[in-house]
Amino acid sequence: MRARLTALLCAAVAVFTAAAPAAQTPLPAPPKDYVLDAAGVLDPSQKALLSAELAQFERQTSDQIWVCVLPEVPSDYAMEDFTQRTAEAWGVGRKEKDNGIVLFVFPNSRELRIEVGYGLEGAVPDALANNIINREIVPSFRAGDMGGGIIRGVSALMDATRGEYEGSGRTLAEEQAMPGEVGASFIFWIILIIALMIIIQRSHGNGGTVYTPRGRRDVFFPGGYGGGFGRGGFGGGGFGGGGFGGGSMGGGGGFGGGGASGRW
Amino acid sequence: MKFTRLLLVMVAASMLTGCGYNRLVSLKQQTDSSWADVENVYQRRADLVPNLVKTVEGAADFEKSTLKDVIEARQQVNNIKVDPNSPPASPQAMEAFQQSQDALSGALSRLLVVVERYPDLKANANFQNLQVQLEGTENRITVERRKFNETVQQYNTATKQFPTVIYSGLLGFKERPYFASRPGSDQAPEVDFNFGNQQGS
Repeated sequence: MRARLTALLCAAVAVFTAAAPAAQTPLPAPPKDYVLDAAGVLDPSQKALLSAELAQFERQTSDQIWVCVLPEVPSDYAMEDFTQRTAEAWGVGRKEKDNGIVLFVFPNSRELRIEVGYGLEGAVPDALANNIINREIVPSFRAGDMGGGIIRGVSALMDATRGEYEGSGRTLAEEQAMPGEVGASFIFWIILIIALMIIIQRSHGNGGTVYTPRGRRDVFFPGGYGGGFGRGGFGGGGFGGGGFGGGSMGGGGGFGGGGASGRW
Repeated sequence: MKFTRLLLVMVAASMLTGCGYNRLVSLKQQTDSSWADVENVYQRRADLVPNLVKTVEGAADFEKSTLKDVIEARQQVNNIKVDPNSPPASPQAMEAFQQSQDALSGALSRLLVVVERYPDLKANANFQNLQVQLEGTENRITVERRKFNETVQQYNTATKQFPTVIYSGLLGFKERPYFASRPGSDQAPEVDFNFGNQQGS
């Protein structure tokens, strides 16, 4: 009986852990400042300009437009598959708005793609993305001006999406750094836990001496609870920034394959 | 002693199952909602077809048989009735749905290959616009099908896991069918507009 139960439990654990997907080239790590240039086509001043403009744009509109330049698409992916997966893995755009766009450029294969998040498909329909590629970006690329083409494309995308959503005056990264905005739920949990403790404390019957101003802290975290409920208990776990796309500054925006591809 | 142990096991089991049941419900709902996304993109394509046909018909003496194939495939798609809010329950229904949609994909990609022989049509702004939309829609179909398969896989796995497997069948959490991958469907979107490497079949 006991052996059987153990076997069953082992089987359950095995099923639970055996969900490793087939090995494929890992997707690139997300950039920290809107622009990933692994092919070195942007000079530092262009990259800095793009990052600054895109941060300012996100403050105004909450939209995230990112740029990803890689030498080529990994050979085990089709381009559209790769760009959609990468954009979604990075979580570009906010989760509730899906308002992200990623401009992908692959200089070695002379391919590019604008990947548009669900929430911006109205502002940037495929035909417009196609026009931006063919009218703004490709002519510069053909003339050998990669950086100029990317900047023109990004500014056309900003023009197209401006006004679609209202910004909060801060980027997502800035909001996460400020506990007042995003931390509301965190504060809610703290209040809830404190309230629970007061209730527990009262039910334990030693509530009479509880509410002297000096002794307050000791009362909320009396000896027995101190270890379990101290700050260290939830700092790094579920409440930290870890939920946001694995350290990406993206907000978890979704992509459904909208956008357009091109070559030059 | 024996009794307490039994009680412990029962409590543990009920906790596990409570947890698993809720997870099953939410996974099942996720498959429904990704099915709705799949339906939505297929509908989007079906809606493009009449416009495309009209534009192509406008071009002088366009090859009739190709157009007829597209129109027929479009009708075939219409004839297969599926619930937009829930995926087909049986693998057969799923296959029928997929077959009709794939037939339309094939007819459309043949049409676009034939268009190559009509430079006027290719240069037509309206047609170019439709072509971009069609390309985008095919890409969306690929994405939503993949997402659907991923959620179904999660759901199916959950129904077969211990301890959920004990009751998942009893409570109506049946295994759901996947989209079978077509040859080449995991490569690129179906309609490839780089005609250099496209065969007309």
